[in-house]
Parts: sequence; C-alpha cells; structure tokens
Amino acid sequence: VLVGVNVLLTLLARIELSLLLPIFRALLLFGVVILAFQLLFQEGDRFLDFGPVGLHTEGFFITARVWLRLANLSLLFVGFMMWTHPTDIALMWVGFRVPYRYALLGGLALRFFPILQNEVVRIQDAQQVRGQPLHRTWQRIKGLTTILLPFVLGALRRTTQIALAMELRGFGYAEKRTFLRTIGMRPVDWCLAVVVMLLVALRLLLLAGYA
Amino acid sequence: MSQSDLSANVNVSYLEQMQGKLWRWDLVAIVGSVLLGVVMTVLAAVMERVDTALTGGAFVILGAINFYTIAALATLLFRLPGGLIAGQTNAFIAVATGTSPMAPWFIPTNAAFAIIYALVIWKFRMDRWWHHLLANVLGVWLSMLIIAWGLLVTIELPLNIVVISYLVTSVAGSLGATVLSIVLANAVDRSRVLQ
Repeated sequence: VLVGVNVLLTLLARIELSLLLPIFRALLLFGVVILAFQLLFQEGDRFLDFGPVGLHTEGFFITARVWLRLANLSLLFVGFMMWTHPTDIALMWVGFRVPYRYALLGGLALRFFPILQNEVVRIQDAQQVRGQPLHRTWQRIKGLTTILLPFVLGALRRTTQIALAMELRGFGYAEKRTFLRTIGMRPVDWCLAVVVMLLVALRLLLLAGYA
Repeated sequence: MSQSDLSANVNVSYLEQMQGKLWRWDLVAIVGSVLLGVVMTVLAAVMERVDTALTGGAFVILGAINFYTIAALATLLFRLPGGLIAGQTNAFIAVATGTSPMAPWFIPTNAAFAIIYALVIWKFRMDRWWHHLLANVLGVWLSMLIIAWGLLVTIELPLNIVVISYLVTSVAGSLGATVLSIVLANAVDRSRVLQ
C-alpha cells in the first residue's frame, strides 16, 4: 500500500515514472542478493536441501518485508528530492533557524555533484589516453587509485577559488541575510505534522506492546 | 583562521599548522568539506554499486574504504567541522539519489566517525603512521557499530552474518583508510594547494 502511495505521490508531483526505473532496477538486484542471504542463513523450516546446506522458508517472508521497507524509504527520499527544489530545502533550514552559511551547503553540494562527476570522467579519459585500460568494471575499480589523487587535488584547488569568489561577494559578511522568497509553516502543515507525530507515537506504542 | 593566516605561514607545512586544532569555521574549510563530501559520493557511486551487486549491501568493503579515506582526509585538513560537513554531505546526496539501501544509516555513522577521528587528531601530532592507524581504528570500529545495528534492524540479517560483515568491513576500512589517508594528506601538503 505504501509503495502505491509513494508512486501516486510521484505522479501527483508530475514526475515521469520512468525516472524511478533505475531505483527499481537497483532494488531488484539488491532483493535477489538479500534473498540468497536470507534463504541460506535464516533459521527455520527447510524446503530444499543440498547436503549440509539448506534453503529456509522464512527467508522469503523476511526478504519481502525488507524489500518493501527499503523500496518505501528509497522512493520517499528520492521522490522528496525530485519534487523539492534545492533552494526550498535551504529555505527550510533557514526557517529552522540554521545559520544561512550552513543552510546553503546542501544546494552547493547538489550544484557541484554533476560538475565533479564530469571531472572524474575527464580524468578517466586522460588516464586512458596514457594507456590505462578502464573499459571493464574491474579495470575501473583498479584504476580508481590513479584517479583518486588528481580528483582530490582538483577539488581542493577548486575550493580555494570558490571560497575566494564567495568572500568577494560578501558571503558570510553579515550575521543575518534576507532572501527574495521565504517559506514557512501554514496551518495545514502544522496539522499534518501533528498527524504524522501521532502516527509515529502510535507505532512506537504498538512496538512496545502497550496496545 | 582565515585564508591570509594560512598564506602568511608558507614555510610551515599545512598539516603542521593544523596540529592541536579541533575547530575551523572559515569559508575555505566549509567549501572544501562540501566538495570532499561530493568527491566521496562520486567515488561511492561506483564502489557502493559494486558492493551492493556482490553482497547486497551486507559487506560494504570498497564503500567503507572510500568513505573512511575521504572522511579522514576532510577531518585532517579541516578538523571536526570539516569531517562532519563532508560526512553529512555524502549522506545527504546518498539519501537523495538512492545510491545505497543503507543510506539513511550513513547520517549517524558519518557523524560518529568524524567526532572520534577529530578528537584523536586533536590530541596527537599525526606525524607517525601509528597515530593515523589509531585514529582510523577507533573511528572505524566504533562508527561501524551503527551500520551493524542498521543491518540487523533494516535488512534483518542474521546476527552471525552481521558480525562477519562488521569484522570484514572494519578491518578493510581501517587499514585501507590509514594507508590512503596518509598518502593523500601528504600529497595535499606537498602540493600546497591549500596555502
């Protein structure tokens, strides 16, 4: 049900479901491996024996429960990031009275994520030109050692330039700053927050065995 | 400490200037920590997928070496705030992009490692290999307890598998991070890229 709700929320946010395919692909792969672990190592009734090794029925139920739990978590987090602009996340932190110097760091990270991803590809290309094979996955893993140092040094060189540019623009000069747009909690948001907290409290009570 | 303070002492190595310090709040440290967090995540995108493909996320060997190396480097260069910011940046992007099923557990784990590692390097000069080994062993073995708890609660793995996963990941993480963080920290120091 919750997976359905998450997918519905994604549709309501006008996000194409095909964007979620890579997540489901990763979850499927993860599910297969975790199923193997649970079937082999869980205790309980055996439904198949290979000499001393047996497959346990309980593994199916636990894997299903774990897979649905992780699918929900992944969809929820990734969905939230898809339908929320990084600026809104920064404004939310500012709303929670986090100093703006730190509230804006999330946006900075998301801004530089694709740039540094491209930089890794450029360094890999440069190493390939110098004769290092990086076609297969295993070769890429081995090649990471030769990529690590130029990548880290490049990022640190970029650091000093960005910090200087930000200081020149007066970032961090004033204790407080204003924003073009602000976001705040509306009455309906408070109501939803209370409902969620009550549900969490109810779940905790159920877990503790008081219900 | 400002950028001008650092550039005034060009004859003293960067790591020597950092000795005995627990905090750094200047913009270079903040931006540098964020970028190292992004570096960690970009590399983790490759390494953690391999770990997940091979072990379903139960044994995050390459992911652990990558995380602990860059987190140690961020803490060595930018002290406690640097380690915390780099770790939380990595956790934030991992959660946002769904890189790993264990991503939500990275938030407390990364914070615990940064705090433990920063406290050790605050008290030691970090000019001997065993200083690095001590900091990494304490940081990795204690913070990995949180991931082990996550494997028990979230993935519901049997206890014996969790213990094996904890031991394998902690040994690989602490040894790999010790060697790589020494190599990287010395290279950064020699390059004078932060001075």
